[in-house]
Amino acid sequence: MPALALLDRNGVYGAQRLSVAARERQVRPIIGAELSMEDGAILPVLVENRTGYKNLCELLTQAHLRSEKGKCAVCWDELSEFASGLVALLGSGSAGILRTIHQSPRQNAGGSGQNARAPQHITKRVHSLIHTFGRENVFIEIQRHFIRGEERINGQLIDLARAKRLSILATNGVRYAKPSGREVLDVFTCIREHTHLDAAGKLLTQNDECHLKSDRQMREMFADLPEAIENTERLAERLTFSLENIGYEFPSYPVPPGQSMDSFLRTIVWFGAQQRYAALSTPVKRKLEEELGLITKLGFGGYFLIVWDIINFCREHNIMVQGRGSAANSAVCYCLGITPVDPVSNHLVFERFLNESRKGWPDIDLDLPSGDRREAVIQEIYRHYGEHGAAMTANVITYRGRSAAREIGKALNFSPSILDRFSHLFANGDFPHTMELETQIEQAGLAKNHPRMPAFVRLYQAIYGLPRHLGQHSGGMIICQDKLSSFVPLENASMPGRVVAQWDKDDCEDLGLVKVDLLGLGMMSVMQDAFELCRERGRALDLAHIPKDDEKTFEIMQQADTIGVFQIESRAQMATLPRMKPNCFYDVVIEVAIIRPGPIQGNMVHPYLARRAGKEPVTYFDDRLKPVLQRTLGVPLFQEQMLKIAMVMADFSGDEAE
Amino acid sequence: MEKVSAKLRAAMERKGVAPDKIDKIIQAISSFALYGFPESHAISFAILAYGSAYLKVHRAPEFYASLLNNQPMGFYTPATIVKDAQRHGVKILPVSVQQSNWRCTVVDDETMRLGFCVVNGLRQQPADELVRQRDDRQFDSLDDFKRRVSLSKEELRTLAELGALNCFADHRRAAMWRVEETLHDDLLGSLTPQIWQSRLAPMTLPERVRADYETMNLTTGPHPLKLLRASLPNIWRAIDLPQAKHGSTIQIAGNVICRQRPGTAKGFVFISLEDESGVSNAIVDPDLFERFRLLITEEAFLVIEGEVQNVDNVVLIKTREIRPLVHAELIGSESHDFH
Repeated sequence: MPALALLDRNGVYGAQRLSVAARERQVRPIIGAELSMEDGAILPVLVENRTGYKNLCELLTQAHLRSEKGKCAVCWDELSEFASGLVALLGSGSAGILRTIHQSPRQNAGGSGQNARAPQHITKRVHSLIHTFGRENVFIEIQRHFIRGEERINGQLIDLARAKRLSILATNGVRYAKPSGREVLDVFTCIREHTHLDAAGKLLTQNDECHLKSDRQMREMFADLPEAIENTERLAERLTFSLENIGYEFPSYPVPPGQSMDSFLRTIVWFGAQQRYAALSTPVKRKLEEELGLITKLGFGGYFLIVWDIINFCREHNIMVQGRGSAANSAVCYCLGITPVDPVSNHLVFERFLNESRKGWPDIDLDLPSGDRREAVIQEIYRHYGEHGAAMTANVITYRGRSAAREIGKALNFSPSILDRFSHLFANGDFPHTMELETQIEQAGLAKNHPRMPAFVRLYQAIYGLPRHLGQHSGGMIICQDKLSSFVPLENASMPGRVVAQWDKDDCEDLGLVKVDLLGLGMMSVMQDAFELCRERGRALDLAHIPKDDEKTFEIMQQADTIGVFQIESRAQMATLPRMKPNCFYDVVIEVAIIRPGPIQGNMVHPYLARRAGKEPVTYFDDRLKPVLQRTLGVPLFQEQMLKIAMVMADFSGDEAE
Repeated sequence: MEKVSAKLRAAMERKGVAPDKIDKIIQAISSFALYGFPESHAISFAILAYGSAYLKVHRAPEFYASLLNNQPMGFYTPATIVKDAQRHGVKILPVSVQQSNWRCTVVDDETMRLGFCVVNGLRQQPADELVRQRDDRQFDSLDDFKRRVSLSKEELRTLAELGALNCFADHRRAAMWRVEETLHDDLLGSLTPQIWQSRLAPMTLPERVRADYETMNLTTGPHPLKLLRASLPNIWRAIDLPQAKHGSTIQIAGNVICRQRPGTAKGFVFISLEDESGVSNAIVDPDLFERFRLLITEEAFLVIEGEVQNVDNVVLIKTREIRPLVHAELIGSESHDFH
């Protein structure tokens, strides 16, 4: 099969994933969408070129943003504004429009009997589509699913095509890859219509013909209409648009006259450096020069300015903000006030953050107080980049253990008590692989030999991991200079005032859209609230002025008296604290890092604690690694140390190591 | 990963690193690559960990009030946070319509007052309106209060049940009765006696604790286990566990505040029990867990018997027997399960 078109309902949700998967298998991806029209009709459209893609995104954005989440209706009248570059299909794939053809014989029952002519308003609709899209961009779509009455409708469609001089396309309205996907489709129909299989009746499919058919199968099926196959091939060749080049440009940051973004960044970094460092030592200067050089070379200057701007907004509005993750390896980020950690005195490795081979934008994640303060920052970004200039990235929620079992159970008409009990017994994070699925559902109260047990197990395996709905990502925002809605359709979130893009953060990253993560931390909100209460009560305090070596603070950590304390309050942390006995800030850094799946899986915790307690000698893989591993007693705990090991022991360059 | 390891190995061999060292280094890196934690990230988080610990020690009422005002968050429920605050000498005053704001407030360096935000089902908008009315003029009676606030009957009942209307009545049950009365704002209204003697029996202490949990999922009164302590002679308190002998068999009991089954623990389950003195932990092996799955996942209070593992004063009970702690008065807080 040379090409494959994906038409999601009212969106391009799967476009990027299709593109990646199709390219891997040498299939050409074609992007399109099924539009829900205002009168309930469905109009499939395909994208021919970049103009068409831009039009589709903007049309969908317009239709989505005027209705609540999950609803979308395109007006027939607004099509003409966005028709350029799009191809419209009419026929078997267009529910609603078709329904009227389907009903036509009955309407004409008393009249001329076997009247094969389409009723008048269909003809009118065809005329308006031709007028809107142009005759060469309207196709009559014929599908053959071997359903009773289908050929009569197809006959009418063919007559319509001949009468209006429109080309016929052979398609298959594919809903699932293999015939076995039919039952999944039926279950999804039940879930969507809030019913179960026993009551769904005519909502269910009549056979399993909507699967992907081979070139040969299609040719055989349309042996009587070879032109339909030819036209389909010809159209596929015509639709050359590819997501690889959507024409997205990085938002430029307004700089003072006479400055470029890079020179301006340089100015503010050196200014910040003077405030951050008491004296600008040679290592600091060298590090800043090195970082600025690389940032300029990679063309990322504007990105840092945009993040700096957000930091300034937070400062001006008294909102705590702290960059997290590998950005803290950068002295530039430290000088811009993005991160609180001096990477020079802490000997952190810049390459972990940015290196020559980096393809996408650097990742700067900002931690903000959760709740109203973070919302204020998000709303400022919407305001700053304009109505269609910024959006949250989507988060594709997939079916997981409980949600899959619950919804399949409902569709199979299991009693609610079984489903409730299942949810209680096998809560999130519980590991279903320790017990057979049959045993699990049996424990919840379904007889092992229940006639629907095999179907339940089969469906569970088929549905697990499939997308359930589109949520919004906890903090990822994408921004754009001009109109983000030209590159990806935007829609309303269930939360008021939030706009979400149709792609998740990986899709956005793959396509080079600039992303900033604004994550909410409950503890930052607690701390900021507490600081404000302290100030009101006349015993002011803030994070920067907390005494650094407070004995009592370390004492409660040593006693694992840490309920309510950030990160080190969990059971696992509390079990380590009395062994770790932190008595300086760096011990807390290790404590935070040590209770993680990584060190636990790598069997690293015990050697460190044993060495710390003096039960095991401190040794190094090699004496050359002493400077790298000394602070963790010879046990590698951090990614940065891994990088350094590769650099020291194998002469890897920074980006090779990364 | 294999490709990277091979490249690294080759580079180290070229550099003349000894083969046994190469093996160790490759082993460390490959077991680490998937889960590594950036040091810079750990430093950022440690700043917040240290800062919040400092607040807990030196600004306790401000810290605990802010924790309660930002729920849900973190590892523990408000019930556990309140008990922890009390164990650290913070006095926690109950919700009162004459004193509380929406958020919890700090009264002095040792005292905080619960806000309306901890009350189940109470809406913020009428609560804020209540505070505005009160700032305008103090409420002088329950009738005055009912006249000037826009709380629903259900909200009034809840406030009466948890004692927030005790300022207008002898006790909670009297307030609950009076909440049900209809206001008669006519000529005869003024004939209703201002002081009204309730003939209802006041709630007992266990009843008040129960009412607290039912309306706020927390209590400022005694922990439910404290009420039962006299009837549990052989059960160790959490605070005494460091004195337990390694290898001995003991019993612990409490409100289940956390159940965990970490992916790295091969199907073992950790259960945290809270009593009046603190939190104790037990570990359940996979077989025992499957045998008692329903009991463990559904019961709010458990008695666990097992072998003490006491290493460096970190005590974990290796569970052998497990049974529900059943008592008429018990109602516990919610737990934080399998997250």
